[in-house]
Amino acid sequence: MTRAEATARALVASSLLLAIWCGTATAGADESDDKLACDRTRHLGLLDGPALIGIAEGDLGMGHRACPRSEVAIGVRGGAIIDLPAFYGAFGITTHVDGSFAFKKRFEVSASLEIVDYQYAQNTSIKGNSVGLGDLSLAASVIAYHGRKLAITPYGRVLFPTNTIAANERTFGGEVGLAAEVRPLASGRLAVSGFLGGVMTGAASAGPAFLRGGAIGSVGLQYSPWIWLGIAANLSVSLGQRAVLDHIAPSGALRFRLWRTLSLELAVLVPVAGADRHDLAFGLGIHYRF
Amino acid sequence: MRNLFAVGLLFVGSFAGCKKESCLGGGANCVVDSPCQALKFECASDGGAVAMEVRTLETNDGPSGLDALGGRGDVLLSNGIVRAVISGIGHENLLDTNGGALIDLSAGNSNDALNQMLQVVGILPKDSPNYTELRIIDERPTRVAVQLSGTLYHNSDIPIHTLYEMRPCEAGIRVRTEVVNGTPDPQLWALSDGFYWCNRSMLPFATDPGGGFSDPDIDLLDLDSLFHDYPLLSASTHSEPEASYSLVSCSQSNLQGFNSDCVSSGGLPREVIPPRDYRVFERFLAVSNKGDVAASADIAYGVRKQLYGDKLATVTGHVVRNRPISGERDAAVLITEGKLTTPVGSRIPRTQVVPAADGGFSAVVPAGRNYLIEVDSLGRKQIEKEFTIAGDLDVGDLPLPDHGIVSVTVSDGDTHHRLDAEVFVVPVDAATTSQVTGTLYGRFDTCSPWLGPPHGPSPACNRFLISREGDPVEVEILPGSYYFYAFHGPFFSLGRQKVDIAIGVQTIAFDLHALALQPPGTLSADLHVHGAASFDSSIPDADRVLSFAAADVQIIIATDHDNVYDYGPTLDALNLTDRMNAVSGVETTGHVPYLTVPNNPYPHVIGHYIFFPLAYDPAAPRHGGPQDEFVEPGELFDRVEPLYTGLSIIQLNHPWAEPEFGRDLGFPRAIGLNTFDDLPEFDDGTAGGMYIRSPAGGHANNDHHAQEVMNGTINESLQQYRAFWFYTLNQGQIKTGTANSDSHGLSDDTVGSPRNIIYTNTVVGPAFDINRLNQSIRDGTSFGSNGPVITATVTAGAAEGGGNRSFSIYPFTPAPSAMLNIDVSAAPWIPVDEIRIVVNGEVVRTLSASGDAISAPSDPFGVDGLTRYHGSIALDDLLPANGDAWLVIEAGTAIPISADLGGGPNNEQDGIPDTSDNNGDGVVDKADVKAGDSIGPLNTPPIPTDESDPLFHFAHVIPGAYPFAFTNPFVLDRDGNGKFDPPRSHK
Repeated sequence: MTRAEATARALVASSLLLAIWCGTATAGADESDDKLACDRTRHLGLLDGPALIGIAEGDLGMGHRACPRSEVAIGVRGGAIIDLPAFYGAFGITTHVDGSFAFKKRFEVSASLEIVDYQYAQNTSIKGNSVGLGDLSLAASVIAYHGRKLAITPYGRVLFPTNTIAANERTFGGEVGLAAEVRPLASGRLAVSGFLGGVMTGAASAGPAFLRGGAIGSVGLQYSPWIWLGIAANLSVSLGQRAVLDHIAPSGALRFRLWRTLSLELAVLVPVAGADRHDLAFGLGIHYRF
Repeated sequence: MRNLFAVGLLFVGSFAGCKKESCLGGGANCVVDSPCQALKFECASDGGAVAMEVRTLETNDGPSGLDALGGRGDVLLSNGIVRAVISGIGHENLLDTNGGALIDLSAGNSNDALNQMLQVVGILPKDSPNYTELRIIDERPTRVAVQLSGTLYHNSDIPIHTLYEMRPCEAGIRVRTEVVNGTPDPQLWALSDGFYWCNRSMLPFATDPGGGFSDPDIDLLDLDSLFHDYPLLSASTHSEPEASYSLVSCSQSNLQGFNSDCVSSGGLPREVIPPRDYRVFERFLAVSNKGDVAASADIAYGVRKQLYGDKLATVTGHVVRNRPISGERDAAVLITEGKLTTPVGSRIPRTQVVPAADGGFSAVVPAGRNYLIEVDSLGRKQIEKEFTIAGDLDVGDLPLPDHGIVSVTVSDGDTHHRLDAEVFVVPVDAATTSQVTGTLYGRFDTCSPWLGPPHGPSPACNRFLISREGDPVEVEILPGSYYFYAFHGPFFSLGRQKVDIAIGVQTIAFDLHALALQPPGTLSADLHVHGAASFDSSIPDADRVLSFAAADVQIIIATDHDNVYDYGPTLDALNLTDRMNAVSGVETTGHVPYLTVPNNPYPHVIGHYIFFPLAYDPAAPRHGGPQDEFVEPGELFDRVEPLYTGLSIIQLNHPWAEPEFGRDLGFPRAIGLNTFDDLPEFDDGTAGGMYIRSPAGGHANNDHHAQEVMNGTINESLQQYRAFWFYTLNQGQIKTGTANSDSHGLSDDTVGSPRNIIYTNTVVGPAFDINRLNQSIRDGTSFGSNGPVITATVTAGAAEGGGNRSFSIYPFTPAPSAMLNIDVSAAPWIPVDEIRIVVNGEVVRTLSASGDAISAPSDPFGVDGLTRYHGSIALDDLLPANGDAWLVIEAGTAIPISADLGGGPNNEQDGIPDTSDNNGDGVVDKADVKAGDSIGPLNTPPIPTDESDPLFHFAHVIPGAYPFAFTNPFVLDRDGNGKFDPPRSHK
């Protein structure tokens, strides 16, 4: 096992342990409050859960929140690859609309469509760009365990082949995983979130399917000092999709409640190790919760 | 969850269920689909399939021609009309490092003029294929094909497959390439065919606005702006044997690419290729054995008619001339879409055709458009007329103005035998100059007068060759007043006649005289010469060898790029074997940047080295030359070691030449050596360490025997090479300094200018011994010169046996009161007004015409006044007070002033001059630097226009040069410790 693999495994394991520890260690800290974990929000209009950022197709690999909610959102996601030794760079930005609907406090279905996908790449001094419709994904989740401080939610997501930039292939994909959220304080000031899952993508094409599957995991913390601000920091690990270690990547998000249940998220993810280390991802989204 | 899982399974199943086409899906036994399946050619009644063949070559029985490369292990494809050679797996040819490129393509068997065509998706090595599998497909009589499979270099996630296919009766080859982006990242590809012409060879012709032959030079950092769309990409020869190629896409209506006289590309558009996506490019490459665009473009337009429904018209006409048309120099017709009022940059050149001997011509163009028909003759546009071509059209007679003809002979004035010679033609006045200056469609050099394509056979540019055998040479020339110079090397008198050319034939005869200049016991040798075997030369062998004889060079080392060649058969054919010897060698030429050097983010190549003598094996890849990519010089030296046929010479060429097409030409400059720093004793990670290290444990990178101090007829880089040589001498790296023409044809550099005069114990002719000559080169018993002759001796000490010692690389202890004895002589037409004595890199004494009795002959065309200086100087007056020293003598005219304004790391000074006094204000400073640059250029003085200038005649037969000669060093072990203790740093 390489040092990078060992590091990645340790991170994933520690993420899970951290989530469980948070759930048990804080079990007696706020006995007077009998609200369930997903109800312990700082404010209904302030986003929570893992930072909505990733570097795979569509919103694959971004995990999922453990607590369901109903909202609509619009935003941009971008990514860049800067590989100076290879004289190569690429930049992509998508405008996406998302929607989710929660029902019976346990279930959630959601969809995300990249309505404009712009891709630019440069190989030495040769340049090119493409614009088209991006990816569509549908997801569903259900809370499997919901305690006062801990929610555990299996989820699944399917990527549909709507991207029109590729001329000769159609990419499919799927993701399944388990998301967890620990909210030790009834005030919702502090939340620990994480997920562990698996991703697989492939192409329908006259060429190879290039099936790529791997494991993803993330653990993070959100501190919300005020009802209009949440500061989230995550550490993500991706294994096996393009290399044994795709990346270890810290990510961060600033979440603002703008007005009532209208909120904004700024997020960035920077792989610091692994095959994706030349990559960078960022996102900006406006969400309206109802 | 169960439902989700089911959906997932469905998707995974759908991946596997997709139909895999061609080789896109991989598979060990996949077969690439046949290209251009909508394209059909009609066969004559005999079916045309009888002569089809596909086989691995065992000998060199592939097509011949200017650029034939095929050898053992390469694969021949033929349909009886066209013969092609695909490089075998593991074979390195120019930009193709592992085989799979199309390296020969000929209509018939003797008209290959293609350096290579290879598939690329970008411009870096990683963007080219690394084919690892070759499969022969023999489906006669339907088709023969060769399939290549591999991946892009350094990226096993990007599979690539290419199929070359020939079918009966087709004047061309079909090609299909498939590339799949198996990486998880988007890629930027321009899947194309890359054509490597690289100067002095074929001129590409692109059918886009402002295109035609007039495409810009490549700037690799601004390549994107050079991409254009064009329906055809053509190229034709401007030499013999003739050839023409035209590429047309079967995948989409237009090709996209860039076009220059070094590299062109044509293929699919530049596109972002998402992960898992792929591209397929199908095309047809038409070929003809006639040297104009139309010869192959007519075929390619026919392809477009089939595939895209283009409406075509055939244009015919008749160029009227007072002599039969013998080729492109006499008349060429360019047909350009547009009107006379259309700006030149918006006109679309469509084709170009060379009329037959009787003036008749025919060419295909798209119908229903306005066209300009232009006729060029002797490098000038003579006719331009506007036509609307709705359908087939005969444009009638196109009369050219009459011209004159000169018939020239050159003889030895003493023996009255005819001489091989080179004749230079120079307009006498501005009026003639303005009437006779021309170009080949605006490309290559501007010549005055323009007598023929500059890089083709004689006549070329403003000069032509005279043979001592056969009929007098006749050359067609526009009327005017001219000087005709007859030249037979620097050791003969120079002939000149003023002739007013009128319509009709005029005869000129020259008598030249041998001058007693070449020292006894010496041979003259040019150690760096190219011919058609080089990718960047297209001079036919007969003219190449005749040019050696015309320049009176005795030893020629054939040093073609990456290709061993033998001029022996041509020497035999021209009856020159008693007066000249040709030795087979090679100039290894780094094509694929890979080398990481200190303080530089860009990959480099190691530059150029010459190796000789080597065995010429016509059946072997590179005719026996070594593979030279991806190795440092020392490892290359190791690799060449088994290939020598005698005592070896390794020569570092043009060590400080500017890179061309992003490729370094000299190793020291490539690695950014700073000559203010001493060379380290071991590899310390610096550029100096890289220079001296042994990369594979064998030879060191600086294990060459010789270094070019003079390279090329033009002296513009002389000061840089000289400065680097002085640096290495100061470091105790005593290498023989050499002087070579690096000639690629008749007009770029004159063979033998400069040359080496080598004191040696062998003789020219059948008894010549290369081992003895090479020992002399290793010994440094030679001087380099483009005219002046230097003999010099130093009195040796008693321990050395006394007597006078000439220069060589071997240290000796001079006598206590030793004298430096110098004789300088030169032909009367070669000015010598300065003799410089250089000690440890510094000029310590300059002898001048005014103060030191350097004489000048009164008649530059006479035979008297050869000796310019004879004298002796006390050695102690020249050397430092103590310490070992080296001493070099130079003679000629003053070296133009120059300065080192930068060029090193962070553009600091590096000890190498880089800028001349370009604004003529007497000082070299930033004001002399070309706008947009930080240093340079380093120019030579312009050719004098005033006949009273002493350089006037010299500069017209050795253009771009000023007289310069240098000796190899006297290496003086003054302390008598038996070795040379170098002065080292000259900070």
